[in-house]
Amino acid sequence: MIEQLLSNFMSSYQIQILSFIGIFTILAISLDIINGYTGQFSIGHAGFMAVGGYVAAYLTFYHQVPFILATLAGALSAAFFGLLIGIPTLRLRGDYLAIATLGFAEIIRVVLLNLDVVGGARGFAGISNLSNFDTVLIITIISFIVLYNFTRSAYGRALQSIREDEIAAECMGVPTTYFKVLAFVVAAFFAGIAGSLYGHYLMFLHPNDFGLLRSIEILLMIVLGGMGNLWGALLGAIVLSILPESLRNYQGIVYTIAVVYLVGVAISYQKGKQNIARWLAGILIAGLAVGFILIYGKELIIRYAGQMRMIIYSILLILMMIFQPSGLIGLARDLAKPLKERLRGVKA
Amino acid sequence: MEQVVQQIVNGLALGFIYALIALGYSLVYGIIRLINFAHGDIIMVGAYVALFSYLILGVGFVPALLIAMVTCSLLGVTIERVAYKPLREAPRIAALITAIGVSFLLEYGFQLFFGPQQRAFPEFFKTHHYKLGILSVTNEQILILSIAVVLMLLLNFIVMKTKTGMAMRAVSFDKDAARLMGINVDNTISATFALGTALAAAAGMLLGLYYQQIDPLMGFTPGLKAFISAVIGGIGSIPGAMIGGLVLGITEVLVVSLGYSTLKDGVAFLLLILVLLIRPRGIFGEKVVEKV
Amino acid sequence: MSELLQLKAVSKNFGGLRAVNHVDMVVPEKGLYGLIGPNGAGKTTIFNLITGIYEPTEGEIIFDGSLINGLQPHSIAKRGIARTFQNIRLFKELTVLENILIARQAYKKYNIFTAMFRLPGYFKEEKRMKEEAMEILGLLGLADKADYKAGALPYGEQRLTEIARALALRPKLILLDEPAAGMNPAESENLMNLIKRIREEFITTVLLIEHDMKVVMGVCEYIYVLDYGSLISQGPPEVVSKDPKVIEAYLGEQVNA
Ligand SMILES: Nc1ncnc2c1ncn2[C@@H]1O[C@H](COP(=O)(O)OP(=O)(O)O)[C@@H](O)[C@H]1O
Ligand SMILES: [Mg+2]
Repeated sequence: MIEQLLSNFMSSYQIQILSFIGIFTILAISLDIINGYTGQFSIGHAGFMAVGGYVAAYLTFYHQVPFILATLAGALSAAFFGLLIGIPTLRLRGDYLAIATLGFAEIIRVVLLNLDVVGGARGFAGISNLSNFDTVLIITIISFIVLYNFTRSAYGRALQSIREDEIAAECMGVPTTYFKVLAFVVAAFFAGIAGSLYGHYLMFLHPNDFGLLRSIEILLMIVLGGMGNLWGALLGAIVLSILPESLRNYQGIVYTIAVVYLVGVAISYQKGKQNIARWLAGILIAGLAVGFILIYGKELIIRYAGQMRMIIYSILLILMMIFQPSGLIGLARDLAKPLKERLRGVKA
Repeated sequence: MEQVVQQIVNGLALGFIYALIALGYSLVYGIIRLINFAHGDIIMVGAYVALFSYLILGVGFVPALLIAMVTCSLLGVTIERVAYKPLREAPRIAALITAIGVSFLLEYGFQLFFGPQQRAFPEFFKTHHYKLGILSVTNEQILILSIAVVLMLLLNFIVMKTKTGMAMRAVSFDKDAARLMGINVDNTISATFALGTALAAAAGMLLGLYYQQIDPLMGFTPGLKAFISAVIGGIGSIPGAMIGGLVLGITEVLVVSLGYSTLKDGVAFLLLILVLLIRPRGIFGEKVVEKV
Repeated sequence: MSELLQLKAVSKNFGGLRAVNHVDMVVPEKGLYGLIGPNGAGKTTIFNLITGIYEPTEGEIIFDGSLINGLQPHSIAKRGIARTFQNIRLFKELTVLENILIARQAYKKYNIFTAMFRLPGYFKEEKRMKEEAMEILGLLGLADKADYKAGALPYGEQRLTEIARALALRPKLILLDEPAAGMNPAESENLMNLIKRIREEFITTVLLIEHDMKVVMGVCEYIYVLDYGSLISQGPPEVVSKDPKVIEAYLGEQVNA
């Protein structure tokens, strides 16, 4: 429906990117429930996505289960795994948990690599094309609304109290263990949905699509957008889905650097650190980067596109944490504040 | 039976390498409560530095080892100052994310500059096989074992007997109290990073000898496994890191020799999750009670 | 008067340190009791034992007729014990109102699906919870601060918010850990009046830790004095303040300081 409308002025490749934005939005907002709202640390989200994707695809492939039911089954299986991994959270604090989630996702990947019914290391091919842009769009919107409501309710507040101060939360009658596990279960459920959408969209699944890199990519989305804010997660998913595309050619890279530079300027402006030396240094670095790309241009980009992307990701992770921990959404809010006040002043 | 014993002997070398890395993890974790994800990648940097010192300077094993250790210490201290120090008072999750960033930066930065392909690691020595009764040992295995043991003894000496070591223990026990006692906390943390990364560099070189090839992603998995070793042994405990490393190294070699090599990496994580469920503070770890 | 809280020979060791040593205490219903002692005497540790943050090494803690040691803090909170912390532990990034609402979350009357889909009854229940929370804030004079981030409030108001949050649990017993710390004499006088009012208006029992002996004397009916983990004296304020052991404990502290 909407897909047809869009196809009048967009290529099918562009529509595919839009669909991926939807799928990644579901992944990012669900991870944000664990990392941003509850303050736990999971770097195994791709594992839940894999469970959902493979279970759903297995059901539609072997048993012709309708897409919606298969997706639901996939999501429920992922939620069950969320419960399993959530249980160690009974005992573990932040950083141990991170390694446990990573290990858990790795175990899932290794098992899938050895599971012949779903293609093992060859990948799971021949999945029916049961999801398209329209399904992705509708399910993304529903997921966003449901999780938004969840975070705004007493449940969301309980999760945030754990993030803020676990001991105080316990003393205020919040059963923190229960809510931590709940966060994992809910987040895994939605990651499972995203997995099913992904598999039925691409018609192919491979265990290595669900490795650590995928989990980190989702993590970066919420870090970039701003943790503990679903709009931030949405923003992060959009930016990071478009970024690799814009890094495919060198005009794109130049534009990206320009945008990143402007964001950097905005951040330092916001922090009141806008002295001329910094600006000049920034311009110099940006100029050097642009010049470097113009000179070595195409060859470098084609040969090392993957590495460049990962390097940009990693630098973003570090810089965001040090200079803009509230993410892009936090930056936008801070920048808008004086503007809002001025508008209010005009009214009054 | 003979085979099993032989495999255990082979596992010992790997186990000692894990132990060496685990010690660095444990040291750093003990002092700033941060899982330094980049610790594993220091292994890789160490191996590359050793390789290039051999190729460019033509040095032998011991100088290459020393160059690698010194370079990596500097790198470790720089990483700490630039990336982790600004976040010392921030939520732990922020430092953890940064650590992941640093890890990826090292991995893909090296891929960009030195290519993603594997490189042969120089054979500093001709391999000899020695027969010890029914067992066969190579001189490389002996070398790995002895270097690891020497470094561990050295570390134990530094931590237990020197002033810096005392400061390190004080800071890891209570940073604020240590500061009040006149200890320079920043320098102590830097010293810890320097020590930990030097051990990682040595481990990198030994891993190069063990596998005879190196690549920019070589450090990540051993890094994680070393962390798992540290958790198994009890994070913050030196004998714990050693035992943990040996347990993991031997388990892994046994799993592979039983023909389940695809499951090798899964087993480490399974072991981790089991330990966390059964005894989260590890074999030698002390139970910590948060002060309220 | 029947006893609400009872500690029977409670001890707590931290490694080699005996922070609490064979303490016997009784707090009757509707009482306003004090627990005083020099720094490091073990007062906060006793609160941590009562609220389940630590488990006693020995002894029994009985609340409202049942044994509570070994229970998790949140279930102790649900049985009716609320507390504040010596070093304020608010949910800093959340608003004052949200801080209060969190203490009410156990009483929410909707389930997770109602919340996710905002099914009928959701808004009514949220409105009811917010009204209750605002009422408590109003009683403590914090109503106009409801939408402020808790961490952004001045120190005194943070202390008040913590008390409000504890009261929001509608506890049978409220434990206040040095609520007047860092306040000037006028402020702490106000606070003590507030504490008296709390007992009347919330019909609750209060156990108050104070480091400064003078502050407690005015409000508490009965005082326990702790030194090096052991009770060294107890009784009404006029008795305790004349007890030579108490004077000595506090004198010792002045000399050390
Ligand atoms: N979690 C803990 N671990 C080790 N020692 C502790 C812990 N909590 C309290 N202590 C020690 O117990 C003693 C009593 O402390 P505390 O109850 O806080 O005293 P007070 O509140 O009376 O000032 C102190 O010596 C303190 O250092
Ligand atoms: Mg105290």
